[in-house]
Amino acid sequence: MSTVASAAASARPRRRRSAATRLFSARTLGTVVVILAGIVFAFPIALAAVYSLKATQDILSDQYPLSLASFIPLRPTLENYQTVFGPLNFQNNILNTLIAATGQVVMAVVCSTLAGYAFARLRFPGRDVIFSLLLLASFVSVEAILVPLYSITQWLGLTSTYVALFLPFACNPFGIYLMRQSFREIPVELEEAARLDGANVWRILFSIAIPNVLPALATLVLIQFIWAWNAYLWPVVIMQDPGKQIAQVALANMKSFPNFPMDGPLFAGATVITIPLVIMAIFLQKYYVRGLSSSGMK
Amino acid sequence: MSRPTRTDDASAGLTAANSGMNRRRFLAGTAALAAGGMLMGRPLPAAAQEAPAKGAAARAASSYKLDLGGYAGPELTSQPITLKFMRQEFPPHVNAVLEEAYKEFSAAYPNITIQEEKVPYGDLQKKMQIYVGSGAAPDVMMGRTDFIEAYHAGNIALPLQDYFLDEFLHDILDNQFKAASAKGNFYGAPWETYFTMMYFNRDIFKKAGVPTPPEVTDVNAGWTAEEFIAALDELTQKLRAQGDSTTWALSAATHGNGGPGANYTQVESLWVRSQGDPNADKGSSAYKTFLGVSEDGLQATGYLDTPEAVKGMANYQQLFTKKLAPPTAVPNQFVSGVGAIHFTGLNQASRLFQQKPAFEWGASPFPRGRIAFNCNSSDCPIVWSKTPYPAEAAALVAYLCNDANRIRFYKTWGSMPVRKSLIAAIPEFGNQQLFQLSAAAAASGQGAPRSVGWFDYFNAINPVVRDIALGGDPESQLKQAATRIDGLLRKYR
Repeated sequence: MSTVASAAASARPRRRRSAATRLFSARTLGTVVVILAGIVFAFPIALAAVYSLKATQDILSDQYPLSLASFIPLRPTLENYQTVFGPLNFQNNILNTLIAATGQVVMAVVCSTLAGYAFARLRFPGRDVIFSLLLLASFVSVEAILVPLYSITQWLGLTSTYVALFLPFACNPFGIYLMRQSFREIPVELEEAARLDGANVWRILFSIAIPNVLPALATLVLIQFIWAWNAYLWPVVIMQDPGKQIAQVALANMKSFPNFPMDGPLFAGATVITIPLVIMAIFLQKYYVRGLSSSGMK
Repeated sequence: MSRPTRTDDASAGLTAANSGMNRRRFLAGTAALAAGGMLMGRPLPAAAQEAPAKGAAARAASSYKLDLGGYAGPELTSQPITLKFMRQEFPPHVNAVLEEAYKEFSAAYPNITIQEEKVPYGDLQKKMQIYVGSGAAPDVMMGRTDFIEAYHAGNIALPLQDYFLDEFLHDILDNQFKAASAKGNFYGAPWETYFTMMYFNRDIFKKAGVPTPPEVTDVNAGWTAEEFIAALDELTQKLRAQGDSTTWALSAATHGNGGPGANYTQVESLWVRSQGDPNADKGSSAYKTFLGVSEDGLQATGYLDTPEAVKGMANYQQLFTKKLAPPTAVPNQFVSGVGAIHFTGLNQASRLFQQKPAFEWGASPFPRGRIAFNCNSSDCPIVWSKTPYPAEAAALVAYLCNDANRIRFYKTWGSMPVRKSLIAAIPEFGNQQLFQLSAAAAASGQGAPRSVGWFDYFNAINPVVRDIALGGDPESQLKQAATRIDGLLRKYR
């Protein structure tokens, strides 16, 4: 009996050790995978940042064969940034992008919040049909409606205005769906209690509903900002005034000179416009995940 | 094709429709967009503008306030107007040349404001089709000679022959004039002319002990396709034997998105159409190979999939199966000194002169097949058919194409001028091998296959070229491509 007890006693720590080892191994493996994935995703961005510190001629001459000089600026220079923020006036393009992105975020948040709440809580004829049509609209790509969209914008007299950059995207089916799902997660009893206390719809929306969907709002802000920041096709079409053109189009312009590489300024510009996105992603990532979870989309 | 003159029947080309949005234009624009192509619809009736009267034009010619080059239309308006010009972006120093020109124009005509819109090169045609589809396009747009048939069929461009002096039109290289004209009308104003040259890195050839390509001035005196492949094969083997595993005999194409299938018009079609023969019997497959598409521009079968075309593509395929060129897009190989040969246009030379790379270089003609062939597909400003200011728009184009502005552009950007008198006036075209060869190549170039659906053709053939480069059977691939293109062109019937 004592032998059996002793064997059992010694087996327990072994099992615990074994479980701990397995857990450690799994965590280690997970960490390694995450680090590798991080490196893979970060590499192009980091390389662009490094290349932005090399003169175009050095980028070309160091490109092949691959060596230390291919990755490290042996003769670091800020001339690309001087070009980008000097003759190319890229700061103006960044400002334009910021205006467009801010406008789109504000418009999309306001519209999605109001429409999402209406679809989630208000009762009106044809509500579900309208919502279905809205979702269907999200399957139509911008490319397919470019000509009519341009015609309408022109008819409104908005060509080459900042408003034209974001107005067509104010009604965002994804945003409305996200907010609708988030509002539906709030217990109805909360709103009924407020209604019994005499609160009207607006009061309920601003005092009860919105404070409960802040993570979803953060998600919406982040996603809309990324979409607007990376927009290309619509700004190329609608913006004819070079002074109001956005950064992404300005970058594409730098790449479109045959036999005249401007790789240095191009990498500098790409680095600069990546920074805001990286910062936003770092600070808003926890809201982003929580927002998707609370809206039932994750 | 006979050369249209200012005395040609203007009504043949001036078929502009009423301005404003209408169902037909909307559908045309949308359909074209969905097809990824330019132009639907046929010329619409009813002229919105009138062609300048010949006599009035001649009288006005002496009274312009500025050297408007070949312009021969009426005197420009004294009313305040804004001319919009959509073009591709250039590097700042080239933009500066154009901006200086606008200043000069505005100083002479202070009532005319020039408003530029600069678009990434790859988006020019897409943007043009959206503008035209919506019924509100810039007065002047940078077009391409390979889409001239489309501009004509879609009533996009204004015929310009009535706005230019005959002498000016006759001064344009014959093949470019032909490429810029359709159905008797001249649509694309002269800007530059493109042709593909073979640049080579002398140091790499020397290192491998392989003779460099012939540095000749005659496009027929270069390597044949077979000699080219054999030389590159030898070069590759010797480089590899020396332990050099990074240098390629042929650098990756840098047109479009780069690599095989980057730009059928300016690169890969040369391998195919050079196996044809414009002087062969019209019913022969050699003649059809040269054309690339049927006379009416609506059928590729029998033109793209001929035995000669298959041979051309098989030659092209060897570049990849023999590992003479990288099978994917790789940027900057030639200028980085790890590509022995590179195919591109004349402005590469301008860049190399400025850049002074760490290697010696030279230039030779593109390898010839049955004939020496080059495609002269080039940028050319067009005037929108429904511009409210046709004379002023044409005058602006003519002004930008006057001698002084073209020479300035050539000196800054380096692309080949398109007028014979300009080429004759620039000394290097008469006394330096590279430029003499360029002049010969420019003079002997041919237009892209004449089809209203060239955009569809072009988009369909590029991926097929890539498949062939990666090992697809040229014969079956070309047959499938021809059938597919026939289907795409059916909508233009």
